[in-house]
Amino acid sequence: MSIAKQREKLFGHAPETNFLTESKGWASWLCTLDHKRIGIMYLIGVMGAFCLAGIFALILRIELFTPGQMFLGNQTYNRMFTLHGAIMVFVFIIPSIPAALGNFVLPVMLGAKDVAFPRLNLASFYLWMGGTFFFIVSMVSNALDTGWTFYTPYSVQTSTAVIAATTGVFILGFSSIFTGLNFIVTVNTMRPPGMTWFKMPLMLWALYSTAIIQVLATPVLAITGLLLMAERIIGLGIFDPALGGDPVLFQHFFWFYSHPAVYIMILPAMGIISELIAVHAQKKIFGYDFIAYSSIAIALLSFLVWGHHMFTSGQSEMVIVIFSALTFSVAIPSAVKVFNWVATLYKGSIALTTPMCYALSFIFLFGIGGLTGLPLGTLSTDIHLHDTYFVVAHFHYVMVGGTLIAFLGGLFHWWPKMFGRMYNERGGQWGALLVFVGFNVTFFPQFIMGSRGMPRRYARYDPEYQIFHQLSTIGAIILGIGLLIAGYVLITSLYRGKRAPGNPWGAATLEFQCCSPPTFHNFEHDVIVNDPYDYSSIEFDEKVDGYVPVEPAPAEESAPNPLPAETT
Amino acid sequence: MTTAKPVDVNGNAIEGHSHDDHHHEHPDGPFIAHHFETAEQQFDSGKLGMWLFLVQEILFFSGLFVAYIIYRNHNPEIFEAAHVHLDKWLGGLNTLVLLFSSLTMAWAVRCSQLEQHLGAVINIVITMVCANIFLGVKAIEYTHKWELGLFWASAYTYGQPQGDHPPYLLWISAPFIICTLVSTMLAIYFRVTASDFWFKFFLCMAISFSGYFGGLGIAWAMPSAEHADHGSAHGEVHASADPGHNASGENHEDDDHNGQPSDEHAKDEHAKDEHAKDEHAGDEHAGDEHAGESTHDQQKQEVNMGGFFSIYYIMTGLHAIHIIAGIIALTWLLYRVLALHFRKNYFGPVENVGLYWHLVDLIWIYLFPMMYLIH
Repeated sequence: MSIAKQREKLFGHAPETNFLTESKGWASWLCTLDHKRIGIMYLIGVMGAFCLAGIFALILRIELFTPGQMFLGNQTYNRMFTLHGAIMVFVFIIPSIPAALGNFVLPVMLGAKDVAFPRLNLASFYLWMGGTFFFIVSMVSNALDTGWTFYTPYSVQTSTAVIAATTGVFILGFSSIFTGLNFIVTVNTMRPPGMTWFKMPLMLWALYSTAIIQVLATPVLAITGLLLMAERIIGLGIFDPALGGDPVLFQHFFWFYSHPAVYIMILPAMGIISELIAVHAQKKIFGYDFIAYSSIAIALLSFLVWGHHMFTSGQSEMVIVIFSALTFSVAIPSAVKVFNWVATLYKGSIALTTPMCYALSFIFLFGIGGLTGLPLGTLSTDIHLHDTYFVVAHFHYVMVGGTLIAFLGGLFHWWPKMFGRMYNERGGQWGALLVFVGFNVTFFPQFIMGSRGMPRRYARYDPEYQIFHQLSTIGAIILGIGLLIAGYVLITSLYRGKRAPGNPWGAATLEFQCCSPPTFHNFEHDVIVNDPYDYSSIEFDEKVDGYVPVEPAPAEESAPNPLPAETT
Repeated sequence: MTTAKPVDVNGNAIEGHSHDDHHHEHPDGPFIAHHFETAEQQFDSGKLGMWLFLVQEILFFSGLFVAYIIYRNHNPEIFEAAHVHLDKWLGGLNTLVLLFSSLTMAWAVRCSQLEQHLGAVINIVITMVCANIFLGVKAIEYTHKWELGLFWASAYTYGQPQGDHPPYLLWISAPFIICTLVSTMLAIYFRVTASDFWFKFFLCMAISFSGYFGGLGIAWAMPSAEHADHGSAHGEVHASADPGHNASGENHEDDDHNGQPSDEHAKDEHAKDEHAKDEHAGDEHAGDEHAGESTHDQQKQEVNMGGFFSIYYIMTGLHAIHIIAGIIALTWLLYRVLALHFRKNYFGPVENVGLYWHLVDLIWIYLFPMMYLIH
């Protein structure tokens, strides 16, 4: 029996085309309004940015193998860590989960045909392209050397291409705002009958919370960028003490966006993990309400803690104590999530699939990343640790160990849904293992050297730190190899992978009710909204090599032979 | 304009919205996108989206409001002294113009809901005329300040001999002159070629843009207090032998009391960035470097007054950009209203542009007292 017939059994009739084959040619992709295609274009784009910034990171790590100069001059080093940080943060991590994966899964998980504003969605993608273009202009013309934070007064004085980079940030900001706006409206108005707020998968709660931050925080970054440009072009003076302005005001503006931006990065990652843990342990998620509410709580608290980046910048004592206390309060909803995931795993039937490997890595690494945030939020220890490698290690544990790992886990989870192909499970697991090991070898030594006083952003260092730097560099190479394997596994699956069934993991969320890849309209029939974490009515069916709902009992008598795995 | 059937630019009825993959019309009408179940769902989505956009706009301006609060908190005397250069009558006039335009905008929404297309066109054109009047008045205000050297902080040269300056007003008016002329010529062209739709459209556009020149004229003709204020403030700054004396107009009797603590503040500041100040003094007053303490304080004051104008220009400038964006959105609405696209179950675009317009108005309602009416 052909795949088409299998589908006929599953879905009533065989869809002739899916969203990948619906129409052909470059124009059909570049002008598409389909959220799935826009998501995939975003995916290709952010992966390109990730490779570029990742290569910068590797070059930096190799330079740091010895205390003295190997091949990068000081100025080149400054430019390279700036571009590594700025591209990773603004071009890769912030759009990675919401805009690439979120765009693909949000409407399907919700049971909608598309996002509420498809044209705005496409506009958001082109804004992303435009912003990235300005970053590349900044990179090839006179590469930025301010650090990704653009702190004044240096960013006003340096001769490097601050204006091009700030324009890029401004444009990328609006790309992010439009994605967030689209998601909020979609979740509010596009839910099908039966899809109540508390029947939404937790990924949607996470994306919704993320979208709130994107809409509320990003405009402040936009105005900050605009003021910085005005400062450089016409000498506006708002951040210049010589003209009566205040440079710390820039830091306040910047972190009023950029601290919530940390939660733009981590909240959707937490959403992915909530899905992966429940599906791959085949156990109802523990404490659904608490995970859902904790996403909203993190989104709201994220606006109240920006001052903890400026404990040493000259704030009043009263203010830093308040910011310190509020910073600790963010630990509560984060811990609620971690405890709930662990409780979900307890007595679950854990399958060590590739997505699950990433999910387990996430819990471990995010735990370390989160807990090392506490000494940085504590005033007395922060004075010692401020601007050291301890901070670098902390935020890499959250951004890479948290967001990137979850992004990869989500990518492996939804890959069969996106492209209709299964990847090599063994290869995926090896990739995940190497990423986990490489990551820890890279960043754990940085905690140690940071606590011993190694400052961040230095191109040269004392020989006493050499062993830690060398470990870190070796780890970075292992991490790079792990990521290459993961990429190789995914890309070869497109050519050699088995065809994916509609529901390869036994998930109960709606995106696994439609076929893989979904058709242009996502669903061939009206969606039936069930509990997204109830796995009792789903069972493995050998005939389709995937999971099917129990009740309809897809016609056993007409399919006598188990299907051979089809490959192309 | 009595038929409710949507037409394209050639007067043919529109049969359906051409989507790349969708050629069949939505049961609720040609402008309901395929992924919405009902017209109501599309309307609700659009409206929520616009409200979120407005929230985003408010936060965009919030950074500037914070900068204003901090700067004013640091330098209250500067705000007292500098704001006399703003003409509260012109500001008040612009406030009334925007309030009136909000009324006509709301009226246009109502007309669209009731399918009164002529009324919608008239109200949209009046709204656009008001927007252009606002910009005309603003152009007079800006250029007048530039001629006096009342620039932002680093370019602030008020009180120094102003050399030849470019024809600011001509520059700033050039886009409006071009838009008016082009609209008028196109209107005439389409009249001649008997293309009724585009004739109406460009006639409306020409009327709208001419509002700018109305604004220029009104601002020119206003019995302005501005010139008198400038005269006195100008004289006082330079006649003042006491470096701490405020450069305020004669209408602020309590300035000396306010000025006292801030002078100390100014001296503290002065000690901190003496070096920077020296450089700055060198830039602007070549030869004044050795003039001593009093010149420094006076310099400080002049520079800080430039700080007030930095905030003034960035806030009102961004607001003006939003007015221009509003004119563009209203132009799009005008086209769609003339093409009879709106009906009882589809008037979301008018409503949403209206919401945007009210927000732009509202921001000005805050800017006006914060800038012009300080006491």
